[in-house]
Amino acid sequence: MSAGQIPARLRRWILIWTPLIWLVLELVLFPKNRPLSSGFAHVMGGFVDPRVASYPAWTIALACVVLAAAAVAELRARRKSPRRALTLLAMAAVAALWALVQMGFSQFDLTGRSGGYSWLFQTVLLICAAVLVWIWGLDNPERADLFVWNTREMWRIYRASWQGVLGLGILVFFCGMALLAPFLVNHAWLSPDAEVSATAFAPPSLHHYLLWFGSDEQGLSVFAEFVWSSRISLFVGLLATVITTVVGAGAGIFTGYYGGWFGEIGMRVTDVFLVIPWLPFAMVLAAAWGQNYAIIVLIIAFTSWAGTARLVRAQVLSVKELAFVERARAIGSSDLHIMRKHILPNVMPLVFANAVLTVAIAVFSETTLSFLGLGDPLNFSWGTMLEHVFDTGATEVPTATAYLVAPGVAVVLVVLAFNLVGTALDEVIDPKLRKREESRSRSDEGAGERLLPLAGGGGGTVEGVVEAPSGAVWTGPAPELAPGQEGSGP
Amino acid sequence: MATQLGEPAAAARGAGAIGRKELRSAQVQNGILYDIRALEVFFPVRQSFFKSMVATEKRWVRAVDAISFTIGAGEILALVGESGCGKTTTGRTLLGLERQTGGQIFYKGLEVGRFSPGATRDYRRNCQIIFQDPYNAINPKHTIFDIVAEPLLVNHLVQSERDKEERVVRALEEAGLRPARDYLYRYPHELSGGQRQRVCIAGAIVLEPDMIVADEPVASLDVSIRNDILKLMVAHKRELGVTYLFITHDLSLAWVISDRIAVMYLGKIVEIGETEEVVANPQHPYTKALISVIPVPDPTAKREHTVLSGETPNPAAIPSGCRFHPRCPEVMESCSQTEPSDVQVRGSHYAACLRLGGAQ
Amino acid sequence: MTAVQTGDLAPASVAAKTKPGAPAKEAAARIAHEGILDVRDLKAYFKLREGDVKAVDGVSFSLESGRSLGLAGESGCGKTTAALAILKLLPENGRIVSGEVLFDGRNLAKRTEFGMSKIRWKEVSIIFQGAMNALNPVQQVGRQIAEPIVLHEGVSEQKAMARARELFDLVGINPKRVTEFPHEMSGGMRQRAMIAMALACNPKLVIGDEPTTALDVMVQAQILELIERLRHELALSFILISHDLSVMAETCDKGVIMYAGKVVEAGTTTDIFTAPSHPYTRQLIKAFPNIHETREMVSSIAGDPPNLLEPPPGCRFYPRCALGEPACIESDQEMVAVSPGHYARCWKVA
Repeated sequence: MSAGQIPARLRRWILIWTPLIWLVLELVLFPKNRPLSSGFAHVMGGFVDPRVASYPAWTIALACVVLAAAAVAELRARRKSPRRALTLLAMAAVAALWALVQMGFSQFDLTGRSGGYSWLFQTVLLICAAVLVWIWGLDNPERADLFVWNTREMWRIYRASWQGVLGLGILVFFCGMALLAPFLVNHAWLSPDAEVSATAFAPPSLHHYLLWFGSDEQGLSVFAEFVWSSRISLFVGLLATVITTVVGAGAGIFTGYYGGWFGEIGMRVTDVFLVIPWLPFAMVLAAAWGQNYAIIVLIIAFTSWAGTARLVRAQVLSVKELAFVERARAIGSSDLHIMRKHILPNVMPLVFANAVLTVAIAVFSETTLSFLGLGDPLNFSWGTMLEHVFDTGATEVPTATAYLVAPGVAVVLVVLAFNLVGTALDEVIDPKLRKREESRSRSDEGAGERLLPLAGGGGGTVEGVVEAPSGAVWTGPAPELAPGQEGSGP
Repeated sequence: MATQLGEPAAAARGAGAIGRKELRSAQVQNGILYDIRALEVFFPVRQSFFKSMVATEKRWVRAVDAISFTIGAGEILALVGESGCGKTTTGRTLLGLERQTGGQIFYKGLEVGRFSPGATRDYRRNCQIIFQDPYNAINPKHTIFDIVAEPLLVNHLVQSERDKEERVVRALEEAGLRPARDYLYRYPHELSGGQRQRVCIAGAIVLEPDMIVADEPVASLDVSIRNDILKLMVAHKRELGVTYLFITHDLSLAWVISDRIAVMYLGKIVEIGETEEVVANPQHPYTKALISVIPVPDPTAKREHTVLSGETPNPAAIPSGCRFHPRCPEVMESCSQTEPSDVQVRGSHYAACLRLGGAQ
Repeated sequence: MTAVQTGDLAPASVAAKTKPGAPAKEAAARIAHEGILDVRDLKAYFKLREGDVKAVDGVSFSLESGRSLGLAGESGCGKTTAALAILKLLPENGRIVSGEVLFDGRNLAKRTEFGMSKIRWKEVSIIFQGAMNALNPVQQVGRQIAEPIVLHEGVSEQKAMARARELFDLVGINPKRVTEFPHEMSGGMRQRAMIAMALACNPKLVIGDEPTTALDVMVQAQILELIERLRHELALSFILISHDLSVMAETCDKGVIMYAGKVVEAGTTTDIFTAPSHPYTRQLIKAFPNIHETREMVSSIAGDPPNLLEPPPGCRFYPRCALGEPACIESDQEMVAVSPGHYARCWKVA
């Protein structure tokens, strides 16, 4: 493959995934009052609605700063052509403009309608990002090829596990339901006066989709509540996990890498957060900070980051002792470089697998907190639905069975799905957990399609199958296993 | 061991940090790259909390106990000894991976301990290391290109991508991986052990160092490919002028490629000299025993095997007097009381044994 | 020849001991040269998704009672697999495809698992590769040695511990140390403990799979000396598996060189080293330095060993052989007699 030619697969992936990501981003904040039944034009209008992509101004400002910093780093790298740096600069400029508009400086608004074009800014930024990936692919065709091959390998291994496929299927179903909620059910059906049945706890019936699960104590559609709850439950779970993982992994890496006083103090701080009983703590925080889902996200992150930190720290402690870290030190790397280039990549698989399980826990925590009445009383999540079920005595009413069962089953399925995905990811990450045939094909003498015949270089130390060296370090071991190396030297 | 250098220039000038400019302009004097004097590397013995409160004195593991030797520019010096003798610690201390607790290391006549932080950074580039186990010494998640380019990146030595690629390709080819471009974007697990070790060597060579410490570089490799790596080291010595400190427990390998051998036991150098001289005419009883037990591929060879009994004592509890005396087949009365000093045997061949006449 | 002792080792009266419990007559009778192990055309394959790895592909060798045989070759040649096949300790995906393993006249290859359990440790025992790390870190070493004794001989724990103490004495460790844990012992000590464990039930044949690979030179010499002494005292037959030809040269009576699953040369060690006949053997010997000869660079063998999933036809060494000719790969090579008792698998020898 010659330089300057992007691998075909990567090209295809960019072309497919960019619109998909755009769609997802649009749907996250899609206006709630344009269901399919209101007509095609109305629904399409939702994509350019002012509410789409209306993130708080500070997040956009933060993105602008990050982009500007990346642009500066690119400029300093002095590559053959400045197109990467220029793209990043353009992105930073667009983000800056967007942030100013969001903050209310309407003089930067070119159309006169304040804040109405967030979706446009988002679209432009996304296209620029796609262009950036394209440029990277053009400049580094070998690396792009490697990346594509690695990803396909991982997917191939993941696909081979039925747990992974099942879990992913369930997740796709629920995420689809969450994202497409505005199309499926008009949010108006959740307002207190939008009853679908005259009586409370009407039994489920098939003649209208809103009555598939019957009605609740106020006569509102349980189905509508169920669909819209999925958004809150999943969104809260995912956001809380992102914060937990970033903070926890960061804390774990720093305290693990720097031993001594810093590490000890860091660990004690982590321990404090670990031993606090999370439920009373969460209740106190909710009482103090208020009841809305942003707070719940923070509460869940607050109580979960320590677990991740501890896990990551343990892994960092063993990765730190490996020979290549020592080599990095010997060639004069700074601590930050070692943490970024050596420790982080070897810890990432663990972090990722842990994150998947954390989402399950976060969804579960959110359900618990909402069930106990700490959720937002104005919004619906599965936990809130369960709270209503118990508070209004629906457990005694036989026709309200669907009302009781649906949210419970949903939570169980989602948590189960994340656990299944986590299990499958473990197999992708750690070759020791894979079946023997899989790991054999990755060994030095494996007949992988990528291996070109290597000329010269001398013979190998490849042992026979029985004596195979377990180069297991390269993919990061499962949490309980220490990276075992069986060197034969004295 | 006695050295051929006079008083190093820096010490004569008096105390004061040595800066980068001075380091850059330093030259090899009298063909000696490193002059190590009375180097000590001690580690504190870990004690339980209670013991550390009631113990009267701190116990030390004397890993390297006041050794002195020189390393000539462009030579291969082998440090030979069994596990626990301090050879690896010595190599690592020269690199700065371990901290010396006593003694002086002179590099091109300048004392390493007095380098300014900037000079220390520059100095570290001149001394690189190859580890024993090629399976673990390189990051499995990085491509070969990343691994070999990392020293350049980390030391800000390259201006442009093209420059970086050129230097990486050159280093790989000098390490025997040809054509280098085939290897750039592979991962370590796709290469055999011998190839991985070559990558490690390329990673060391890319900085164009003065010295490379090779810590058991062929111990994990198949016998039939050891020679390739050894030949590479000799080629680098001859063509690139790289000095090698070859650390190994295998005296016969050291005999094959090194110019000089230093035999270490429990933190001290017991014998040092030119390789052929030391092997043909060993003076220290430990060296004699080692040479006698090394197996050779000749079943008809009949010779005395001086198999020592017992094992190397714990470096935290070193025997009094000559530290070899409990196991020495030629022990005398005075050996348990007096520690021997180096005695010149012939030319640059020295041994530390009371039987040769040296007494503290 | 052993020099001054330290406190850790039992005194040199060890030399006078014989195997505890067995009369000297039996030991003497055993030394008479009768074949104790006869491996004939053994084939052991591993089943992988891609096919069968022919790790051991037609290996034959024999060992007389009381002698030592060295099985040498580089990694991947199948020597460990052959040893495990003798004891039928192959992993799940391994199996003996054909061939015979005649031990004392009985064919082990055809024995059931139950039948093998009677043979293992009682008559044939093995010291595994990396044996030092094969000890259970949370159990006293003495008890680990006592365990097979209790299992096989059905004696009480106390008697087994007493036997463990005797064994420690036999291998040169202070018997009081039976209560220690593995981490309290040095590498050499642990290796001796593993040897003691292998001798626990008075086997006739002991297989040592790279018993000294991870040890220092001096400790290696001690262990080899110990094995030699035990072999003579207890009239043991010993198979030494090693990649180190020098070790094999100095300790074994007979030698077998393996390459890519086949035996390429067999004979007494004297024959093999004074008149190496197979090109691989010649090259391999030159890869080991001889410190008592003139100083020269060790040689290497270019190329890689063949893929055992689909071994090439004819001579497997052909791609790396300097004397290779098209005739070498036309048909499978047979063992050719170089001299009585000395064979090489190369038609150019004749």
